[in-house]
Amino acid sequence: MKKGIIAISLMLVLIAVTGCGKQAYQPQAINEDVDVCVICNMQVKDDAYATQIVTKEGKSLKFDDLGCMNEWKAQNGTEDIGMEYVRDYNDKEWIEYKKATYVYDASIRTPMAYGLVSFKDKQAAEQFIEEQGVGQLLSSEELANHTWEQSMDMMDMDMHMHEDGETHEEPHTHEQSHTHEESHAHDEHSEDQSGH
Amino acid sequence: MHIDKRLVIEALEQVVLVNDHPAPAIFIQADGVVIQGIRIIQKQGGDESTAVSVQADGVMLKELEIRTHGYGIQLRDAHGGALEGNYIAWDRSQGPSTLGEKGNGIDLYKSSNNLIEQNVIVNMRDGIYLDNSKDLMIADNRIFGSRYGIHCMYVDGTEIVGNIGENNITGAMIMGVRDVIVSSNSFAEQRSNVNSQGILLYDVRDSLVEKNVLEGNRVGIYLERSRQNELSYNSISRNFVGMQFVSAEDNLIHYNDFVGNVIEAEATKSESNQLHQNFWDMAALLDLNDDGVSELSYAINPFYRNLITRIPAFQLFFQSPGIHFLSTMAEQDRQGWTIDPSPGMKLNMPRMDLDADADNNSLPEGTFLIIVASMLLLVSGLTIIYSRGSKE
Amino acid sequence: MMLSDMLLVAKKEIRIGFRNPWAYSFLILFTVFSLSLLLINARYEVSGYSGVTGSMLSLILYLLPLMSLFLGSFSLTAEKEEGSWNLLSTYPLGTSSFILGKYIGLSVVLLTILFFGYGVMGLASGMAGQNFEINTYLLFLFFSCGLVLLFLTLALWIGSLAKNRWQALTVSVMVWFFTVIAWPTLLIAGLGLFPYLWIKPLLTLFTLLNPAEFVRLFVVIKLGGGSVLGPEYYQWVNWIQGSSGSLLFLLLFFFWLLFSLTCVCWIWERRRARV
Repeated sequence: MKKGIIAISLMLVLIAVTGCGKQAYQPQAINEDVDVCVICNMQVKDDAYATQIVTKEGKSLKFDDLGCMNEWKAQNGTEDIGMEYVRDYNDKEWIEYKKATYVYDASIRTPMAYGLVSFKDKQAAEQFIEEQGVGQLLSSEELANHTWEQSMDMMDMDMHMHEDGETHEEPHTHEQSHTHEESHAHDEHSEDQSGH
Repeated sequence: MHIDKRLVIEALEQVVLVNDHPAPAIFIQADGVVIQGIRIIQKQGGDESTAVSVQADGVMLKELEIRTHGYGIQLRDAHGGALEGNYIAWDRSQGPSTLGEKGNGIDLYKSSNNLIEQNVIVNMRDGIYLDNSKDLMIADNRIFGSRYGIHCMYVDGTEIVGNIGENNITGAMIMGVRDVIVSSNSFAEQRSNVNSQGILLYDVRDSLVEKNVLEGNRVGIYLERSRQNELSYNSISRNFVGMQFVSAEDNLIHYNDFVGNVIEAEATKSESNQLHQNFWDMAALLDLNDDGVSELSYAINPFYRNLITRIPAFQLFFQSPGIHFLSTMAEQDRQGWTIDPSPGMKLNMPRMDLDADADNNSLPEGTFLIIVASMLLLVSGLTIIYSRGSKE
Repeated sequence: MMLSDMLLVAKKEIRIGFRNPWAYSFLILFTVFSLSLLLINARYEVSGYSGVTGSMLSLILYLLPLMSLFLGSFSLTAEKEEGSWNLLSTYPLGTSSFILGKYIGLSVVLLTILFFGYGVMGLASGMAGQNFEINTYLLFLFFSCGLVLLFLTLALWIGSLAKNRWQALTVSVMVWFFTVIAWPTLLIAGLGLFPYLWIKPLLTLFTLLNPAEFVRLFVVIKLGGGSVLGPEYYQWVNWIQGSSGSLLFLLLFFFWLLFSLTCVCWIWERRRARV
């Protein structure tokens, strides 16, 4: 009888193995009932703003906004990441982070107000900019130097968030001070480069 | 109905406005409009379709009864208005709908200095959604069966007082706010969803959370990445987890009552908070000098939380006797734990008498219990007597 | 298998069971513990999954398996030690009648202890006017019975394999420690060796093999605490919360019962053949 148990567990293990073998970091579907953003805890809606990281060990991490995914990478590094996915703005198809084209404008409303949307090809992105009349076209490489500001017009108290000696003179800095120290420094640096 | 003049509309008898179009039933673009006592049925949903849309200042909406298949009331760049005593419910007549299809009950964007009072909101996405607004007063609203009862995103200087939330996924979702007061609210029974909380505070600063009642939620208060807040005199009872800290620093948590929770508190990466004189009903207490404060500190054991953060599958072990055993083995090394050095000896807030309202319906149930119990006792007694008496 | 033989064995077992001082010590232990738990929480309502029901559940998980294992395994080793099995095996008494009779007799003894404890607890809280929800009470009673009956089959295993009472005692404590206390420790350590994606299916499988663990989870879910198990198990939880969950429990219960009792019968049959 014990042999039976062992056999069953072996079979299950085998199923698991064959199951794993096939999927090379496949993105999981969004389940609105249970999925919350790993960073900000908001429910992840099954919409175009959802993003996903599949780690090397196969754990799927879902985010409600591209900005939250960036925040996760700033906190945890990128070594464990198997694959990163974003969604096409038009048909919500999962696309690889590196292959997507991005459009940024502070006026685009996204769940965490990072103002970034993603497209599977450049034409669609350009068309979106044309329709909206605003927007800045970015590739994933350019995204690495993005400032990741959250659009918070009403929060004029942002200035005192930087009371720890980092007060910015530019009126458009709405970075949140909870940002990781590293990424913060990085942001400032990149800001100078991109010369806003 | 498109209102672009200053008007006062007051329904004397029952007026019903049925709207079959995606455009709002009432669209207000003139300052100072007052509308009172109308019933509105918004049949169309999708995108941002709403029953009432306000894009003007000083507008007052009173005692409206809205059934909607989209949003309830939307305020866009509308300041200094008041929403009082409205009833907003999701229109179920068109069959069941998923959370994703639903709109928010009251939805503010870039709208400051508004008063939202005594509204009742049922089965919507977010009951009251506040985005990029400031100096709001949210008082005495009741929200049931929605996703988030009150949802703040990037809000400054707002008071949330005396609201009641039940059976939502999360009672109050307070995110990215500064200088907010959350006081005297009651959030109960937020526990059916795997991500339910009474109050969730994320990226909150310089705010005060006091005198709230959190009962029967999955997590009473969830505090993440928040600094310099004060949490006091909250009554946190019968939740699965009383309070949860994640990367929260420099907060002052004192005079709260933790009673009858399955786990009182969990904390990760939250070392520099100050906890004082909270009442933990499971803590070992010892007061030698009679100052009402225990000399034994109360430490929050992070073992289980750390375990499931790494491998969520182990959540199956929640409150398993073995996990308790394993956690206590780590008790020696308290470095980096969140600790209340001076737990209170008795409740900080007078407990509201739970039995008061339960009494009327529990009486027959109580007798039923006695009957069942006596029968069990009788059966066991007879078995023992019979088997001891029978001799062969 | 003769029904009358089985009932005869069961009756004898019940009679011996209530002469056994162990039965009374467990009866007192269980009653006193459950009463004091209620007293400590006298102010609070007992319903749903909360601190009170959580600690009640822990008490049940500590005490009831131990009780079943001791009483059950001792009863079987006593048969061997006192030589009554040798005598019985010369009679035309079927092994399955003997084992089933033993099982039924012991079940009656154990359930009587449970009923007594729950009876006193229910009466006390009913008299004191405490708000003890009847559904919660019945749920606890029902699952306690399940737990006891499942561990009794394990006890029969131990009693069959152990040579004498001392061996049965040691093995019982070992089994209890392994299934109740050390279970998460062993699984966390063991499953840590597997790749991440295997952990959940393996953990689910192992959980079904441990009655203490699946009874605990059923109680938590039926009390409405399923959301605490997190997103990984939410489909299971939704399903178990409904009536199909009760059906699954019954199925699991009978599978366990059938499997264990068949094995035990087989062990005794073999021994009988050797005699």
